[in-house]
Amino acid sequence: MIPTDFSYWRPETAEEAVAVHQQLADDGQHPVYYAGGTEVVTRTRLGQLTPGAVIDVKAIPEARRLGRDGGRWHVGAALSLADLIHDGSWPLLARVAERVADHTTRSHITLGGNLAGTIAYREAALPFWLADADVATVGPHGRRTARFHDRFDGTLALDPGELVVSLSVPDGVRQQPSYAQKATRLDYVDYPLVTIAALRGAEGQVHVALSGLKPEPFRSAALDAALIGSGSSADRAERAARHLPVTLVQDLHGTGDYRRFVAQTVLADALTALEGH
Amino acid sequence: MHAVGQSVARKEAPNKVTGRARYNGDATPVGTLTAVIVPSRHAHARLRQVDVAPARRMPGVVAVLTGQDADLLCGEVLEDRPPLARGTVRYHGEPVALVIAHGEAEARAAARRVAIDCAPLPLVASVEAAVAPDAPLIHPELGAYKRAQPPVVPKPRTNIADHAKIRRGDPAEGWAASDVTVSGHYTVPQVDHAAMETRSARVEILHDGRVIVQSTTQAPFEVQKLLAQSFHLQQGQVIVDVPLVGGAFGGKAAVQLEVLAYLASRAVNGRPVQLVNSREEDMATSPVGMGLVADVKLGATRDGLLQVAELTFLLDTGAYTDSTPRVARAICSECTGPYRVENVRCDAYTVYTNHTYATAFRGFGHFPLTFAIERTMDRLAATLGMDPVELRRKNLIGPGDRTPTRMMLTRSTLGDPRTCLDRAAALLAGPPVQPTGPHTVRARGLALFWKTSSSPPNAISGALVSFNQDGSVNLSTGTVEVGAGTKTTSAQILAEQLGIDVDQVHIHTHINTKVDPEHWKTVASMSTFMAGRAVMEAAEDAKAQLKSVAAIALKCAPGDLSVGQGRVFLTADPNVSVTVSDVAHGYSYPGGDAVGGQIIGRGSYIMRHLTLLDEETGEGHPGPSFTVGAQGVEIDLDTRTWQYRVVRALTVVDAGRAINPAGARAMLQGGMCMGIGLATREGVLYDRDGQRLNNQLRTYKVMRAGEQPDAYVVELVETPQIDAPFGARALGEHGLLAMPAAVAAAVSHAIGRPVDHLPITPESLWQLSRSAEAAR
Repeated sequence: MIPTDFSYWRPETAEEAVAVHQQLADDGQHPVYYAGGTEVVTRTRLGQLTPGAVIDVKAIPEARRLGRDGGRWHVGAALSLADLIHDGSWPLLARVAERVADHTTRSHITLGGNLAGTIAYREAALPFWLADADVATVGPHGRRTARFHDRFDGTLALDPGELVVSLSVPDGVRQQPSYAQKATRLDYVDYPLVTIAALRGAEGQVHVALSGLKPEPFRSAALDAALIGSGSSADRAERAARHLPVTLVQDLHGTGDYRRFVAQTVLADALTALEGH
Repeated sequence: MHAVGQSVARKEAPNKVTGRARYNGDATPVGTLTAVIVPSRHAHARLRQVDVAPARRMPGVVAVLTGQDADLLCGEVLEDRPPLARGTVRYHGEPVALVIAHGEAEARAAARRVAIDCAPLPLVASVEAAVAPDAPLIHPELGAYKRAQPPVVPKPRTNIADHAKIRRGDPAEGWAASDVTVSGHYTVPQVDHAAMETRSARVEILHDGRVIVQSTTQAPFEVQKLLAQSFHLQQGQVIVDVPLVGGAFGGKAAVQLEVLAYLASRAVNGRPVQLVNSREEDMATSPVGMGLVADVKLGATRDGLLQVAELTFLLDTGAYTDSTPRVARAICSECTGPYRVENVRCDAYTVYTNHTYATAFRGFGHFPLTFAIERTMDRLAATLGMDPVELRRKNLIGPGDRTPTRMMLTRSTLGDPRTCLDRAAALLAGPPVQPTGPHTVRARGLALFWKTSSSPPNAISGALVSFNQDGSVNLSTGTVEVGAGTKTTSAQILAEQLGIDVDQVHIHTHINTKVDPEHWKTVASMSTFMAGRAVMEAAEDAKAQLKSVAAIALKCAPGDLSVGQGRVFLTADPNVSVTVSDVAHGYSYPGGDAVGGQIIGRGSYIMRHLTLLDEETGEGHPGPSFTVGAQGVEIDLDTRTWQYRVVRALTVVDAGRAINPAGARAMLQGGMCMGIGLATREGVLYDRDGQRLNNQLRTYKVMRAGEQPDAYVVELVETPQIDAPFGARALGEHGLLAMPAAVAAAVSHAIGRPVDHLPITPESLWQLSRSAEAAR
């Protein structure tokens, strides 16, 4: 039960959404963009969020685009994780997405919501972080396409009122060898102790991005560098694990020490899967 | 034609599977107000002020209550719990205020405006801390509390709400006769019932004095009694109505929301008020299942014969006792497991902590007890170098032996544990652990359980049978349909006795205390036995009446007649008969004049020869019979990551006689699923301030579809319990009882170290392996 009233808006262009957002914010309405609603509904029910207005972005056509254009593969931010899994044309993204929440919830959670929401695991960001991705947004200062790398550091740096419209990756990246795994406390459906996404580049080097270790996703050039070289997967994973953050998340799902152990295991598994040894 | 022994679909199943079944919280009658609980944000604090004025000013609010408006203490055994906190809050989530408004939205919005000013008190975060010298007292008034349902033995000026004991034989003699001694320390966390339907209650106080209660309770007659007692009403004024209940598992045997809803209705001139728990409230404000810390010490001869058992249990009842002192006595009653032990010393303490208070949980203390005793049996087997199955076989209790409460067992009261053990061992054939890959193993574990009802010695049940004009039958019993199929079982028993098809028996799915005969509570797996006995008597009564009317019609003595297949007929010549519909509402002569009248069969049952347990020795007779069984699991475990999965689970249980075999199997399989959840993942968690961490299903994990083993194997042994309906033994709780012990045994085999703490997560195994490495 959501005990407070709010107004509901359903703009048809990103610009209109941003304009409405700005106007409502100026009116002191504390508007939120609304896509799948999995966070807005649950957090509002618990009183953690009290929006005066929700702006539903699912009617914006470009936020639902999916396909190739100009050598890149574009994916709209208002598509659900279930949509991306069903599409399946980027196996790495599909594999990561299919371990987020449960099927019912994945049919609601959107790509943009997963990237920009409050629940900090943001596992759908991992593949984009590894690929040469772009992120297209519309904000109070207009349209902008930027390298995902430049705007995402575990958290997507958005201006107030700025809306993520779509992301894109070079078309070929979807065929690159990749690996994803999610380790949980025990249950198949649970928050991650560690989720790993790994992508093998043309030159053979493995890059990884991890979620669950820090409050937000993590990647490190030094860790990636430590994955190169001689030695077994296990040895290199052990070396690479030294580059994990000093302090790891410690909560009801698992301790920091255990997360470190699990991270090292999945790093070794990723190397074995992508290199065959 | 036989109805008993047939697998029939539950009567209410079509409505349930199509979504047409109606539960208590599904609809709000027009004009009903909504009450919302304002919970404490502290686990232990002195209430300085509860400012309700801002909430009262909110739109739609009709009244706001606090502890000042409710001067009473509740408690099934010991009256220690104010329905709304007074002076002190003792757990995170405890009701502090109650906001009553026109709708839920208004009530919830206003509830956020209630300002609770309190001063934190020192936290008692565990049972060990609670029994430490100089522990902060959670109930300084403990000595003054009314003992509503003895036996209960509080220790004033401590956090021990009750001390239950078994003193049998001479432990010193037992230790002297023992060549081998083993001991273990075990912990089981509090757990949540996690029923699909959250608890709810609706109360209306009519101007004619009647109090109408609609609730999700397993104990409608208890609600009736308690409300009448607490608020000085005649019992008949209180009418409790219970529709289908969406899972209960003991959690709905506690009376909590009904009292709050009554207080709320009383505050608004008797208007109907409903209180429906959100999932978070159901988990953190309403009671959970108790946690337990156990120390078990066993002594045995070199050849494995048990000589002595000494056991200490600290039961984490949280902030209030509710039924935990009764659970403590149930644990004492069966503290040795199904083994022959002459010298027994057992102490079970009900201990207050600043945790959510606890109530009955499926198995009534037997899953934690079974975990502790079976883990120790495995330890003993390892110490003796004996096969764990052989050790158990050697010590199995049998007819002629006495239980810890000195109850003499017969084949009828005990059943056949040996066949259960042997069949389970055969079904689980294979080495305790075997490699299946470079770093994967398959391991097996087995454990036994036994349980009796531990019900009050004067628990009663009743049944009423009436007839429709077409000869079909209506059956009314006082049991609540919580999903166990109890109504269908009763219908089968009646159909069998009347010689009709079970489709000809119509049941009440609702319970209404005004019209349905009293049944103690739908708990303790006792419905088939108690209601079944009442139904059999009601059937006999109806048959006798049918025969006496038919005797007039057929010009013979009633003793010449039999009833079956819708007819009353001459036993010697079945061609001479009348139909049941000819006589059930009076027999009419051809001229139109009539004799007889409406036939109403009545039956009742009261427990026989049960006694309360002696306060000093524990001697007594806790239940009518036992249900024994053996359970086993196979697990696949990865020794590199410590991840594991239960791949096969099995139960062999002495069912006495399965009245509805498919229903019995499903009930046991559901219990096994629950047991695997308890073994592997479930447990209530608090942070260092005593705040509940997992009060949602996204954080309190239960088994999901897809996580179940590849197979649930169930085998039923049938050793009749002579005084039970068709020999049927209790089965409702038993599927889960030994699962955690069996899983722990298998995991222990897999990793080569004993696993003594629940839940068994991969991280807990990793920690064990690390401490083993550190010790090396």
